[in-house]
Amino acid sequence: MRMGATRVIVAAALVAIALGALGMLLLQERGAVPATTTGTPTSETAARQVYIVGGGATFINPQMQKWIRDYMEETGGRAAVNYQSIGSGAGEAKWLEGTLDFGASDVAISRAGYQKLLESGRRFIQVPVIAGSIAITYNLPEFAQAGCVLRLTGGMVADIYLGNIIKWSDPRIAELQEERCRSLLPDREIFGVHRSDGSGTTALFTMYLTLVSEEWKERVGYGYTVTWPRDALGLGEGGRGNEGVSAKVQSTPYSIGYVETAYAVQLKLPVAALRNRDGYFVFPNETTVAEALKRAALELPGPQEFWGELPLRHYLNREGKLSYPIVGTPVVFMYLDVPADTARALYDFFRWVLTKGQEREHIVEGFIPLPKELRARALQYLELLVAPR
Amino acid sequence: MGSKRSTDFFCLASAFNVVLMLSVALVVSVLVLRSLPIIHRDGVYPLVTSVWNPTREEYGFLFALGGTLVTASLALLISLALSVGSAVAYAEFIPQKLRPAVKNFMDLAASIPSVVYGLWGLRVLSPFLRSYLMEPLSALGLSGVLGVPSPAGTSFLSASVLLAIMVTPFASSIIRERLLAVPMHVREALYSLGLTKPEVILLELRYIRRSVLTAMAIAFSRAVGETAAVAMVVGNTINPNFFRVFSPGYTISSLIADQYPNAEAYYYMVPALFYAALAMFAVGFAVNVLLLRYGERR
Repeated sequence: MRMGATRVIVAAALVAIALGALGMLLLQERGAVPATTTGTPTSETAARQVYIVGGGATFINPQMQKWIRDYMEETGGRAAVNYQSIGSGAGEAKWLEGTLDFGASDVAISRAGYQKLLESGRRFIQVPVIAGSIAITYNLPEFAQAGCVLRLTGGMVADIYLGNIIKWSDPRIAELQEERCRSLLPDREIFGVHRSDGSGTTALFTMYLTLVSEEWKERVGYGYTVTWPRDALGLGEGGRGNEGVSAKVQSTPYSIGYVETAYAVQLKLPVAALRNRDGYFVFPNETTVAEALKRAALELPGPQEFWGELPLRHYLNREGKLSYPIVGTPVVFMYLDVPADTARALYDFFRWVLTKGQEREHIVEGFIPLPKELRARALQYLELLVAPR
Repeated sequence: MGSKRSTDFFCLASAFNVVLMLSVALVVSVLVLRSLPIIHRDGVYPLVTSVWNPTREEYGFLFALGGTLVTASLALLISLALSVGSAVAYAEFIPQKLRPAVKNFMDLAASIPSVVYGLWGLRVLSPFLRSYLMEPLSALGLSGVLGVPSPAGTSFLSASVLLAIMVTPFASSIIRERLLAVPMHVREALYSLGLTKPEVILLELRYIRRSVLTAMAIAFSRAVGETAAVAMVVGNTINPNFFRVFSPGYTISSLIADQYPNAEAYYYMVPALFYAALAMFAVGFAVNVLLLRYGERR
């Protein structure tokens, strides 16, 4: 009898606990419980270790991890930084929520995020940390055998993805190629591969296409995800992530795709030469990317302005004989109104990233350091973190 | 004493039951709450249009909803044949000595992680189906109805076949057990009427048809929700013509897997994805209720 009552009480308690937990979950879901800031000790003792946690863009993840490893080694483990590769959009959202000390995005804070940021009234800075570029990769067995390299213009890339150019043998493509390669273009349909997941790579690539094709601008536009007209013809398909697109292009003869150059380099994919604004055919490499980006250094908007259109206005399709047209800089953003020791830790880490971190030994294969002009501007913005307030 | 015990047990069991039901309720309420902004803005519009254009904040996911239904239904049909066939083979033809080995093998097949199935589907199954099924049929002029296969063979059809292979061990084990549990006197009575073996098997299947429906309900739920493997073979392409099963497309779970990481950069994409999840839940639930109504418990 007593035993029975005890069990009923236990059961009731269990239900109560479960209900409580579910209630908490529901409240949290609705945002009633404020998110707590991760691991920022409030203690003021300078000797204490400060943890900074960041997250966002998947593209810079390998580079971030190397920087963190090297930096922690150099400082003898006094500083601790953690970076979570959760995607540009998620990084931005978590940073806005206050769960991350810094966020990182392939392009910049989105318009939706920027609006929330303005509403919150918090002060922040945005800083470019590394250079990136997008390579056009392709699979043309005939070209590979003969040692030919594909040449394209931006407008033609747009026309391919729009479905205006159907076959490799199209005269518009043929006339760009070297004499000896022209006849090797097969009479086959081009299979257009793109990212199926939302990505900064797609954002940058489609921004470039809106710059070089009026029709693209009107029919498609730019963003993390767009609707691809070529898919509707049954001549295009998505792949998940840079690795998914690379794999699909590699395994599908007569296909074309776009990937972050770092992937093309690491996987040794064939890369097309793209005609730049001045009419020269260029490959994405350290020289051509730096050449394009250094021109943007002086025009870099203020640290608190809307950077969403930065690539569109200042990075892409730059003038200059040696400029590669599809370049960008992943951007890191952090709040200024944080505890002094957090600000100091962020400052120390990113100062190291923008100075020593840009040296060859700290750069992962396929990534490209920022040109020094841009680095100088970024360091200026970073100073705001430790400016007297 | 005995009745006390059973009362206690009843209390404990019902407590856990309440918790279970509450968590389902919580999941549904979160889905509804999170999708309210887009329901408020667009109503049922996302359910009936196939325009996914985040740049213009347009989110119609009919293409994914249709894709989910097409792949899951096709998988269900294929799996029905596979699982009934394998269960009959097990119960009627496989010698007693071999049965444990066959049973273990089936259980093993059920425990393979879906990513492994996905890789196999991408590298082996899709190219195979393309070369030996889709290409020949397209060449016969069916591509107008069934769509044009893509170079890698990724398509609704590949996803359906893969799903069928994945869910068959589950469905088959249920049917197999029921088939073995057909009472001996029923079986003997059938044979005593002078029926042949195929006729007996058919009658036995009619005898357990409700269990077959239950097995199919379970298979369907699994097929609707499967993400990792499907995302690898379905092609991930926005395709409004989801009835053209040779062409690549999307299912709701693969759409969510693809779009969620950057969704928060848009105003309405997160609500739209929750709405899609809600729609998928509703479809899975409705089909389950329907199948189970005619299934085991009436």
